[in-house]
Amino acid sequence: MKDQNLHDIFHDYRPAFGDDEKFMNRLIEQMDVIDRTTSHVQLDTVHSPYRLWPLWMAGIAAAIAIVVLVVKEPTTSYVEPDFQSRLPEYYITDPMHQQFSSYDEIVSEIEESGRQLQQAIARL
Amino acid sequence: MTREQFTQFARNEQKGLRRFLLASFRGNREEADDVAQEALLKAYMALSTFKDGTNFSTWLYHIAYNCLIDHYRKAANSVLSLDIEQAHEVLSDMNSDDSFQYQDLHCAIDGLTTSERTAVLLFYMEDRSIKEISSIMSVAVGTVKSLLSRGREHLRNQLKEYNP
Repeated sequence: MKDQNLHDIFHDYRPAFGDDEKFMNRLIEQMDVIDRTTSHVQLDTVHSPYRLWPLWMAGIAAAIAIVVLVVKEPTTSYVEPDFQSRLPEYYITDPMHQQFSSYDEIVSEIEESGRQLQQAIARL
Repeated sequence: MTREQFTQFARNEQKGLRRFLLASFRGNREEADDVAQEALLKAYMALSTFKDGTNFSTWLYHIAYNCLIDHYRKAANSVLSLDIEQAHEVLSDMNSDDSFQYQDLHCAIDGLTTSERTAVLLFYMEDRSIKEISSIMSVAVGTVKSLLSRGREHLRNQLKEYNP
């Protein structure tokens, strides 16, 4: 018996079904049952906070960043306030003190004045 | 894949699937249709695992083949526990094909192993390629060729005088 004979035998055998719609209707009914059963589960999982964890993590990270950068005072290097803005007004306007441009100069001037005073007292 | 697309695919495939299962169950339509329904519903529930672009028919038949194997196992276990009277009832139901002209063919097919029968039916009746059968049965191409060779030899011996 040749291979083609087997093909012919099985193709001749191929039974016909006259109830395709009945079969499909039964299938679709069962698919509806599956959809009704699983839709609740799907809704829960879609709205479940656990599925949105990447967004939660991003939100928490952003909140921490805002707290660190905005609310908390930066502890970076100290910036010395503007010299002129911290002095009393008379000090700024007094011609005698306009020679100074920093606290260090004033301190040096005071220390020098102190040394001169001590020397003068010693000579007395 | 949407539900509508699946339904259309199922409509296109159901005829061939039921035909294959009917021959596998020696003409028992009720059993064949039950397994066909089971296979399609399992495919529907596993739709998320189906990769778009791959062959839906091969994927569906793979599921159906696994359902077939499970059904054979359950049937084998259940028949063993029956008493004589119940066994007679089961055997009579198995020959419910109203067309007795195919009884010889059914007997010849029945003499094959499950794997040989599946390979032969998919190749000769459903015109599947060897590569497709290999995917459906999850075996190597060489194995499919061996199954077909053995099945062909057995059928040639059984159907020498076959004339439906």
